[in-house]
Amino acid sequence: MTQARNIAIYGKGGIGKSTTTSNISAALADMGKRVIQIGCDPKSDSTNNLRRGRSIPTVLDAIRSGKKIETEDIVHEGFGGVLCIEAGGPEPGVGCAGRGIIAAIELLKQKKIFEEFNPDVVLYDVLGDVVCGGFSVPIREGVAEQVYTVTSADFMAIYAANNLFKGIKKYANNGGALFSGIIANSVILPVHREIIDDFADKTGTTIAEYVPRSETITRSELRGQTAVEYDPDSEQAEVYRNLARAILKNQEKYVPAPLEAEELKGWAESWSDRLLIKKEEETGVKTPSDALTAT
Amino acid sequence: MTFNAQEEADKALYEKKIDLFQKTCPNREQRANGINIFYGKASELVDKAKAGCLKNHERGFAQSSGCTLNFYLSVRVGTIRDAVTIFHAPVGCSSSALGYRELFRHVPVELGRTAEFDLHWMTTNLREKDVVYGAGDKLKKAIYEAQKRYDPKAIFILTSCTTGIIGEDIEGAVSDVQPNIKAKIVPIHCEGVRSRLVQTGYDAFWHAIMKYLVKKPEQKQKDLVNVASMLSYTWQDRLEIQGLLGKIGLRANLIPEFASVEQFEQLSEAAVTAPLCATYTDYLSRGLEQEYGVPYFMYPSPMGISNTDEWLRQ
Repeated sequence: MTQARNIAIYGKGGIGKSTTTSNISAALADMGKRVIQIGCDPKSDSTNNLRRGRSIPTVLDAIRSGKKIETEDIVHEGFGGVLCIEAGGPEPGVGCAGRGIIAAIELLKQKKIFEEFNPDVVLYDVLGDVVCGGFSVPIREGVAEQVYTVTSADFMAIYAANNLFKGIKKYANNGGALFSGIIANSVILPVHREIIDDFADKTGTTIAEYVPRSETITRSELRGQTAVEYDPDSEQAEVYRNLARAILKNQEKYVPAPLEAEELKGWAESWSDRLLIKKEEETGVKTPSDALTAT
Repeated sequence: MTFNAQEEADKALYEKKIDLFQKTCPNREQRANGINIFYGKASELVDKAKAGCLKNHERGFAQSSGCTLNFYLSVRVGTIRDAVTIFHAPVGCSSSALGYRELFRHVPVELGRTAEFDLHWMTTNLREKDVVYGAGDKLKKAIYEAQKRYDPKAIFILTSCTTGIIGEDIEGAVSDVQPNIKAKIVPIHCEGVRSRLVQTGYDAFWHAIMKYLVKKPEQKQKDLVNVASMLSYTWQDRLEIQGLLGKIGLRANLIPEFASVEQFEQLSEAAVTAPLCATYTDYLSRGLEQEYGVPYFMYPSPMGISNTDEWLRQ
């Protein structure tokens, strides 16, 4: 059995993790790789765009049913033969989603799903940031080895990425996963790129790929598809193929250096000043000096 | 998967490989289609069991049984000599084990209790703060304290529903402190919420024993018989077993009650693993054969003259 590459993808909610992950899966499948994508989010819609917008029964649904669980109850084939699994979880506002992730991943291990399908790549698409013990399971020993984070230039997304770095640092000494790169998403203006580059620089991390915001994504997702499937000749599909190749090639993993709360705040304020100055230069309108934050 | 015959179901069960790279065993519901609630006629129960399609019935209450930790895994682990048991749990989870201290101290030495028996019991006493912030550091402190107080050969960590739900990184804490600790640390995943079947707790115990404590055999001991059980006998039975085996020149390695840590370490050197009740110990029997080639048998249990005769012959 070849050793699978186990990769976890984290990021703030709504930042485009599932879009990115599904497109990476689709691109990898196109290259002839055997891929398993595991959605670790109670919303359980990570793999929808690999299955024409249809959702699949989840691992926790199967556990809840109390029946003997067979592989075909939890593993469903999607675009290009990508094997889709959704951990699932409780309805919003009840139960414990974190424990759900623990139980679901435990079951996948016990059922020997990875041995059975012998994948080249396993992608874990994980909700939000490392909010609790349960959601840290994918970066613990014996699950994923490499972690990527999806972030935009938006401060809250960067804040979540910084929190993820803290989580990785915590488990780094215990054989847990290490960091492999930032996937810069929704990059439209050059300044978005500058902000993310600067954050990477300050935290000692690297950029895996810049993914522009694109109409292609909107159109493909409305049809429940990935860009790779919907419009394989589009620029956006090529971006994801490049990202998929970069991820396959990238064996690098390291401990990131997260910023402390105060440092992060200072960093954000320095950018707010720089943006104001930029705006002045562009528009010629002078900002009153007291609007600038003292640094 | 359904089975046409009991033998096929048995075969599928026994041939499943035990994976000691995992931190613990599968639960009994998954591993062996185990059930503990059945509504219906006894004849239906028999037929369905034979066909391998018994289903556990859901209901909103229970009127018996304990949990994977406390029925009565914790009680037995506490009897192991030269060892400390740390409950990584709120304080109540360990109360039944503590209660048994008095009971065990009244077992006469001549019936199998070791004279120096005392319970080495500790709990991390988890509270609100620990649930919210995690209690890995507390566990590490308890392990250091156990080493300092008792200088044991093994430190057993019993997990609880609480640590299971908050996803405590037990293995992380253990690998962090093990280099500084003389005793072998043995984490047992017996979180109560994992399973309704208490046998899952016993499987988790044997899994941990094989993963952490059993040593590679130095020399096979041809006269050593592993007699594994989960207290499904009386104290007098222990003497009988030892006597009967002694008469045919064999020594019984009785585990786990009042056993020493060495007795676990040498499980791999025995000539055979004999069960008293296979339900509790098949995981150990199969694991020892798979890892170290120690043969085993499952039936019969040594009860009554003919079965005891058969057991000895096996």
